[in-house]
Amino acid sequence: MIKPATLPLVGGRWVPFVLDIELEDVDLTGATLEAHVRLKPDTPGAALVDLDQVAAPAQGLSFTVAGGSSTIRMRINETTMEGLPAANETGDDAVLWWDMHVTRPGVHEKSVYFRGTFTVQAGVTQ
Amino acid sequence: MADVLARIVDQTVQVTLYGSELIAPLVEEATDAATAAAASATAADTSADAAAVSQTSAASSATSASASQAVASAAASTASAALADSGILANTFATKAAADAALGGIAANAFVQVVVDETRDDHRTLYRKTGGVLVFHLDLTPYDGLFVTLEEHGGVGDGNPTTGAGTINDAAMTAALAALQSQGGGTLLIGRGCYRFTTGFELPTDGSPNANDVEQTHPIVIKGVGCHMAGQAAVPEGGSILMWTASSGDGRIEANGEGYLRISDLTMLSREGTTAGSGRPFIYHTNATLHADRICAWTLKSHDECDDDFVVSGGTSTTFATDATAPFQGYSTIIERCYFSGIRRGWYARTYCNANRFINNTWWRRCGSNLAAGSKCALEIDGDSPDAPDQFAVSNVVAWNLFEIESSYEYGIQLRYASYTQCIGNEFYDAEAQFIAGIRLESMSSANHIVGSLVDNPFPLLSAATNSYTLIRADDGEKSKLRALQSGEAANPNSFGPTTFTSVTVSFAPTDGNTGSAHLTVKQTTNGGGTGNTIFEMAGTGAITWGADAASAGNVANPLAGGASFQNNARTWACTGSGGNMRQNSGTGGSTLSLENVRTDIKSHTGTQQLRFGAGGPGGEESILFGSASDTGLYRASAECLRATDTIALATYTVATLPAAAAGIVGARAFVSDASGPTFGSAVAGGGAVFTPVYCTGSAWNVG
Repeated sequence: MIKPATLPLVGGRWVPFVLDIELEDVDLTGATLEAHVRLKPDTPGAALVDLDQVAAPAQGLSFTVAGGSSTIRMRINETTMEGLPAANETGDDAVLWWDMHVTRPGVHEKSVYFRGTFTVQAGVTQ
Repeated sequence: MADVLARIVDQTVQVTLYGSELIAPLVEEATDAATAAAASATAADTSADAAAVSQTSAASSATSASASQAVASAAASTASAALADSGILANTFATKAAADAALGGIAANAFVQVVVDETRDDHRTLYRKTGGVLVFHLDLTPYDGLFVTLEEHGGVGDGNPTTGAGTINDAAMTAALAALQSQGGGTLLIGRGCYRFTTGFELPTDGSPNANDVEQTHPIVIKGVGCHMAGQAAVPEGGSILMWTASSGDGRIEANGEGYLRISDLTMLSREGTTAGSGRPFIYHTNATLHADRICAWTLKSHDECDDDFVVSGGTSTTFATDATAPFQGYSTIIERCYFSGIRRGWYARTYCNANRFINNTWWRRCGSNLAAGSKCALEIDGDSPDAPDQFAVSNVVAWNLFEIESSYEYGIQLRYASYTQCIGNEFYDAEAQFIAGIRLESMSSANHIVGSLVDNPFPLLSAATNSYTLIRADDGEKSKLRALQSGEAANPNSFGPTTFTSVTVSFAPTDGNTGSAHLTVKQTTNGGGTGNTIFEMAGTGAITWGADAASAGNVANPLAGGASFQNNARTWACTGSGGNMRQNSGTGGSTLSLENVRTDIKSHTGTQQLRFGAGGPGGEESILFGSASDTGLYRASAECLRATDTIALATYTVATLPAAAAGIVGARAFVSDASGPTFGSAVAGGGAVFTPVYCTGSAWNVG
């Protein structure tokens, strides 16, 4: 079992979210990646953001492999960010949760690599 | 370089941050966990080096794996606290359906938040699990139930006040007002922008007439973000603008239900026309109490073209109803701090319009009236109704308003069938030739209290028709003046209660509709205010008249009534000055001039003591008459000293009792009754029985 790293993320309400994660000495060739953003862990139902593997630069998860290491690109489009729930008070940041599953056939089953809060910062310029 | 460098060491994912702002420093999580690792992380947070911010460095005294694990564990165990800190409650669900689906896993009595509650107009809501079900607890949408906007109902504030173009918001306004009424009242917030309309809007009512047969309107507030107040501009600018390019009904906004309407902080602009004929009141209300505050009412018209009233309060019927004909019932209406340009009457108050306030408003220079001469006023109160005679609008306050009169208005304020109106401190500027007076009283307007302020010279503050009353005023250029208008009704005289006047001049002048010469009349009053006898009157000739006959001003008319007398307790009665006469003329009634305990000191204008008697003797001579002019008396004919018109009887003596003859009484005459053998010119001798006149020679009394 892979023990996840805590990786709190912060995105802007009115801009796209793009994050590159380099997995050193990990070849993700053949791996399956999926990430959700929810109000809190274990919230049932549809995720606020459902990121599947896509071909960059579309919204979702993509990765490249070079030299035995992999770089994961996590992208959430601006319109998706804008639609995420707001905090109770106007102007406050909304704190959601996220994690990422990685399935590597022949290496390990679906495991959580990263997890943490996903903060949507309130913005001014829209 | 990637934003995050991750490794897998001993089945544990380790991450190193490279300072991207997309990634929160891990130390924040450590702090939230309140663990020893967090303390280490805090120390690490002080380093500007990205490597130092890494998870590994944060847990400098522990392994990267353990630090990561500790943080993750802490975060998981404090998830609820983190959620609370973030403003999102635990048990938060995207939809009500999602919350219902997760109901089994939610602890009893726990609060549940639904972010977009499809069962409650997509508001954010709060439930509590009670009895195994979710019970609605609170609507968390800010100000929900208190405010609505036109935008919520499809409105767009893209109008152009200069051209009149823009999205038509008729449906949005109708829907917003209906929404407020349906929820029991609330506020319609008008945003910054210009909202165009092509119809009038009548506030909805509940359809349930009360005992007065009037339906109810819930309290509704229409509030903007500011109004335009700069009269020199071509069109209103800025703030919230409600713009009509067409309209309908009795007013652009109409409130005929019993209830409350407040409109504030916005501009109401009509672009419906540039000439008279397209006018309509901006606000029309009959049963609703209105608070209109900080509103600019604006049209494109000027002076005699103006036919848009700002507020009309009440219809002209005396029958209660939920319509525009109904008499006014919105008592305590307040219209204040408003600004008019191109407006006719700022306020037109009608039947039963009682006890309201119209204060601190401004008529700017394009205002005027298209009405006929005699009715061209900036504010009118007319309580009359065709249903019944002599209805009045009572006890309104019109105070501290600024009227720019210019070239159209004849009056600033016109009162008809209005009583107990308090007109205080209203100012009338820049009047031109058509202007008559600041305030006009007519049509039985009575008991109105008026305290003047500035009125452009040479115009008066007041013009009053017969049957109108009463003011206290101070005119420009004068010190102070207490003034009562003549009523023209003997049954309802003006009067003062017990009043002390100290060092004041009271003047009376035949102006403002009164006729005849100036006069001061003091009358007795009877219980209930009726008049009694005239006690004192000073008429236009300057003479003082006693009695009830004011028509004979300048002359004594009748004796004091009821046996009253005039007393001069000051002891000095002075009639000074060159010329003039003092006259007592009792006509045929007869009277007595009685001088008692006095010395009569009579002097001529030359200083010589003289008692002078006027002409009136038998020949027109100066005379002392005894009895009437035709009776006997003494008089002086030409070249004579004195003549009697009848016999003169002398004192009768006996010779022995005659005064002693002496030089001092030479020429004195007497009569003796006991002369003996009298001979004319000889000394008289007594002892006889003959009656004869005698005269004194200085040494003897001789017969003759």
